[in-house]
Amino acid sequence: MSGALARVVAMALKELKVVLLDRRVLTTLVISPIVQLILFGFATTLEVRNFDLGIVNRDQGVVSEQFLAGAAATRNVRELVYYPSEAALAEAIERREVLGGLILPADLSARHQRGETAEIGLLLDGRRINAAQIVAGYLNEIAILTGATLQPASVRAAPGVSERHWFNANLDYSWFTLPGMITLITTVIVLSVSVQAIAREREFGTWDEVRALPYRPWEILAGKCVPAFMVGVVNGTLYIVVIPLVSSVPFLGSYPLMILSIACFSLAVTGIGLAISTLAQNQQQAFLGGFLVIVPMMLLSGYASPIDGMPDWLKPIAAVDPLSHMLVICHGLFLKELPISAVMSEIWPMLAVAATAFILGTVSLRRRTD
Amino acid sequence: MAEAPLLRLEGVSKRFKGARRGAPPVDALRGVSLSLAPGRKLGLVGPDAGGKTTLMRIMAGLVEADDGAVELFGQPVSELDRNLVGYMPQSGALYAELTVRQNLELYARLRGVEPQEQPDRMEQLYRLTGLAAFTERPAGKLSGGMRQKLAMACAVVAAPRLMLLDEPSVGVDPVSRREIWQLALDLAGETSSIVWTTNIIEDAARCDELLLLHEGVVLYAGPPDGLAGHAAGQCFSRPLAEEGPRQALQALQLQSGVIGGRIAGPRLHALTRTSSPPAGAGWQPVAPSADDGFSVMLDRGQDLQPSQLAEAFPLRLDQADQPAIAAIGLTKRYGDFTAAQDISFTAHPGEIFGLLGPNGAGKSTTFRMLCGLARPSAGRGTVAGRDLSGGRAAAREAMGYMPQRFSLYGDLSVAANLRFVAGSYGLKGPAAQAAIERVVAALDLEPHWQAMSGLLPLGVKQRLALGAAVMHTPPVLFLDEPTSGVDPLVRREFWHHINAIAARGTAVLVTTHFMDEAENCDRLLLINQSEAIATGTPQDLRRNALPGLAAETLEQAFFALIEAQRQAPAEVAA
Amino acid sequence: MSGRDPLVWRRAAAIRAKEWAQVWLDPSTFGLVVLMPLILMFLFGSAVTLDVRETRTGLVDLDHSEASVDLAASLASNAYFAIESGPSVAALEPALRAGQLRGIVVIPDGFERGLVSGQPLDVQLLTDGTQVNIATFLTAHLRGAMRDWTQARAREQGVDVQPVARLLPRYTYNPELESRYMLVPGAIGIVMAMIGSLLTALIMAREYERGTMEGLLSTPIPIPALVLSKLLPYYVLGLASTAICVAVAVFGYGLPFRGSLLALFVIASAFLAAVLGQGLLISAATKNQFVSTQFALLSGFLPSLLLSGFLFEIDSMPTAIQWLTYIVPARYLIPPLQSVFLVGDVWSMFLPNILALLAIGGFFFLRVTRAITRRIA
Repeated sequence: MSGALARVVAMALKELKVVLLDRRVLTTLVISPIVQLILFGFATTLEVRNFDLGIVNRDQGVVSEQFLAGAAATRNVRELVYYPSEAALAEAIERREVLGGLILPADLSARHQRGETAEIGLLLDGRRINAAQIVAGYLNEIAILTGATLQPASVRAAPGVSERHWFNANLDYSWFTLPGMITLITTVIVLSVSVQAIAREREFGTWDEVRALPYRPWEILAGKCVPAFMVGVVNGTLYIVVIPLVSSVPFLGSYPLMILSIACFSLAVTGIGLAISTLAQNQQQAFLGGFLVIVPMMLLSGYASPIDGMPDWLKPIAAVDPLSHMLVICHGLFLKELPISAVMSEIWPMLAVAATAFILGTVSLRRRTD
Repeated sequence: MAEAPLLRLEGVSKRFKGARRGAPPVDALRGVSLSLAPGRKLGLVGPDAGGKTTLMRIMAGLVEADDGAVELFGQPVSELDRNLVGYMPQSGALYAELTVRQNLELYARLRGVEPQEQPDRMEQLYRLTGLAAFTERPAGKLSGGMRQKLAMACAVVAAPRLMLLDEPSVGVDPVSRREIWQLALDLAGETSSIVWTTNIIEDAARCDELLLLHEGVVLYAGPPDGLAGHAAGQCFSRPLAEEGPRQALQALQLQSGVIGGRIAGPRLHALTRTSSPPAGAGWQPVAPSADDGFSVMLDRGQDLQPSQLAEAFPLRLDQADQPAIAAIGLTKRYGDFTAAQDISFTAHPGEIFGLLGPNGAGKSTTFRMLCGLARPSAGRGTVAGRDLSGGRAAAREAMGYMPQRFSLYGDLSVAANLRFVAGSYGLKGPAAQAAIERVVAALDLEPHWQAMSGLLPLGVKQRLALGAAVMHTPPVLFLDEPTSGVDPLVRREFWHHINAIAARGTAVLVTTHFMDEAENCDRLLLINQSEAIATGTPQDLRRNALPGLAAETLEQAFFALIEAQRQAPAEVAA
Repeated sequence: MSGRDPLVWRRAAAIRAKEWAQVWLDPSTFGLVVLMPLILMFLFGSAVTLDVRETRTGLVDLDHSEASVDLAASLASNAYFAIESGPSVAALEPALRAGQLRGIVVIPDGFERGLVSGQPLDVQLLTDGTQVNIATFLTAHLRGAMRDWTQARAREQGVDVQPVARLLPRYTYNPELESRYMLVPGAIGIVMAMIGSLLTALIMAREYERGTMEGLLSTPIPIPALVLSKLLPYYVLGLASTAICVAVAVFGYGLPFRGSLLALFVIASAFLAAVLGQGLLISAATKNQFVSTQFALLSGFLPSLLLSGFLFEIDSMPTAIQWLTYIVPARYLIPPLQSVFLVGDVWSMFLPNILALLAIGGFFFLRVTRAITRRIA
């Protein structure tokens, strides 16, 4: 058994040297992830800000005046662009000059005087349906507010909603993206290191040497998981330090628990990468195979879109995606002081994935001795 | 009036910066000059692969010289018309996954030969290379000799006026080596010039001119005969008496003043540093060969010391009656193709057992099955009494393996590679440290300790690979062409170690293409066309190769046996 | 240079034939070209949806009145919410923290009294602010639900209060509000970016790593011809992949295709020119498969996903990052691609984008021919 330990250590040290000796590799493994984290963390917001709003105004009365003042005042609208006709507005939308436009009919204020509900047209770019819906939401609020100020107080008395956003009172989008990005970037880095571990030896002809040495399949995998695992843990740990430094995102949870989670997560992703690596004949197959796995894992993680919205039969698949669990932990420990029991219930599935992947990798290594 | 040279180099120098920051720069070439007339063949020999390859790349216009003039066809190399040059890189530059035809047609078109328009040329290439039957086989699945022939055909498909062939015969059996040389001559025709790099002096001696390059400097330039002259009066020979030939050679090589020796049939050859014969009776002066001249030029005046590498091996001769390696009906089939058919033999502790055979005969397959790198379709193998099919890791612990190609990590230092291998054999702490230090001292790896292994000269790489294989002093040693591509002095050093290790009771299974090395084995197994066709001591093979007629050299026996199988396969195999 | 070589077409054809043979022999290439589009189209078509429905929401009724029960029932029947009732906020809070609930609605004590007295109390909503998008939608949906409920009750009581103004949103090109209409063209962009940059990032590095580059460079083929003929098969593969995507989008997911195939072809070609050039440059510059795939992932895939404007609006990004998006080829692909499906041929918008893509492609290509020299390092 002590021989086995020595072998695993030797393999691990060798792998570390191979991966880390190349300065370019080191750069891509440590510096670029941080740049990515910041770049993508701040870039990815589902808020819609700074959009230009087209206006076709035929009404000269008080309603349009109030309404446009309201629209111009929100921080989301960059500029109001006036168009002479609906057709001109439609054309501008087609050329993507504006995201949408308001059409204020000529009888707007007159109808209000008569006590009828005035109807304001809103034309939106359906190609950008998500942003369009969000903008419709903003404008609807403005319409309601406008209405409210113009109505007698007695009619106004309806119950509203007073909301409080826990854990992120201002709903700052970067509080969602930055902790979440840890999961995505760590996956990309860890998987691309682990997936080439065996494929690279096959391509460079060193695999024969390894196979002639007294390694058992599990020892090879145990040694080979070390660089990817370490890259994952080091990167992940770095993010915990960097994120609160470069942004307003706090880290409220327990550091040891977070590092433990990152370790378990890295182990799971490493296992998946190694299992793919045992199947690949060369590096190209390994990379492309890894990529075929990365993309679904990312998209099913709940980062790009909520798991709740997925079809029911896909939810179990998302549940075995280690990213979905890590995402819960990241948000939980950064922002919610997630208790240990809740963290552990996300860690077990990741460890199960890791164990399954290692067993599959061992079996596939044993079967592919020829 | 002499014809204008086709190729002229004047004072060419090339320096590479160190592999790592702070490493000293490496001088690959220092003031090399040469010239070659049309139709002449030049053999470029030297122990250091780097210098030769750099020179070839400079002539092919792929590396720029720092200094000096390079002219081809009377023009500077920067104006080189690539249609006139066929360059075969050392790697062969073949696409392993593509078929023979796809590779050849790719390079044909690239070099301006349209296969459909010139079917005669293509047909000629297939015929000369003997690849006609294998056109649809992936290049990666060809035997070493075939691969080299294909690579050469790809390089010279357009019948260029100058052929630059970088190590076309490395790792190739004697039959194929002859064929490859003949192929080059046939493909070149009368008027083309050839530059041919090699470590095998025998090959270089076939050229019109010979250039010996060592550490970036030209040591010798002239006709091949002239090289032999450097060893004039230093070569001796005596008949081998009853003693074991191997033991006699080992004793000779440990004598002071002896540069080297070899067994040639019933006689022992010696090369000395002075003109006095080695100690002992019966020595007669003989004419030197180019190989002897080469050894003299490379000799640094150091005598061999008793092998430190072997001293660490425990004495295992007490179990000499137990087979250390046993092959029992080993058979390997790939689909319809049988790569090895019912191969059986045993090797005992202390024995050096040689596997001989042309490339692609099934030698490597047999070897790989015994190392546990390929699973037999039938039969089984044991190593140190451990079955390869069951406790495979345990069997592998009992063996050291040196693969044909350098398979250690090129991007790691010598130190890192040795540490990896030591750990892989379960060596830890002081034990690992001691084993590494021993190997480094015995194989003189100290100067290269921090160097990147991939950039080492071939001879040092092979020493490193040997060191890695023997670090844990295994009872069984597998050496797959351990000396291919290294110079005579390194070969001598290798066999010195191998002999000493065997003397401690380790069984050594070795494959080789050099007949003088085969002479050094206790017993041989000759494999051809997937079958074992002869086995016995080198003497037995020589005596029994031909009915009623003893072969003079092992090489003759080798050719005769292969020829005999071709004519009556069933009879010989039985 | 190529003008002087009379056999350049023949040599280029040889390289193309070789690349094709390698493509056919490697299953992983087909995995990327055929499987990847199918997987991505499926995920973006079926799995990824930005519509927030059936949000798991807790409900605490502190009023226990006729009005509060009515409101609770109204919320429970609303498709936007999946309501789980609890006795108190404290009882539901752990579920909110663990991510099992996205928000908690609290109907305050005295809710009904407030309604009757004309001084209504607000319903409280506590959201999980870490899920910013869901929290925003949840708030908006609850507001809407409250208004609907109030109006419905008012109608029941015979009071019809008309709002002053009502917004009548119309979504051009996508009246059904299908988010896949937006996502699927984006997915096509990602597929093309991947084939372009990842596959080509490997092809040059592989030649260097395996030593075959030395053989190619020693032949008379001019370097631009070598580079272009290596690219061509991957350009065709990229187009094939695009065709698969478009077929799945139109026949599988019922997307309209209102533009012309010609426009699609021109746009796709321009985009492929840019990303193939990008991959090739990465490959030629690094000469190492591992490093070049890293760069391809980081500079090809992730920017195409995150900075192209298909998931996240470019205008909403910080200014510095907005500037950066100008060098992301996918930025110029997404708008024309979405339009060719949903609008038609808007050449006035296509042309500037196509020109930008061609400029990027041309720049990369120039750099590639400079990065690949006849020299072996």
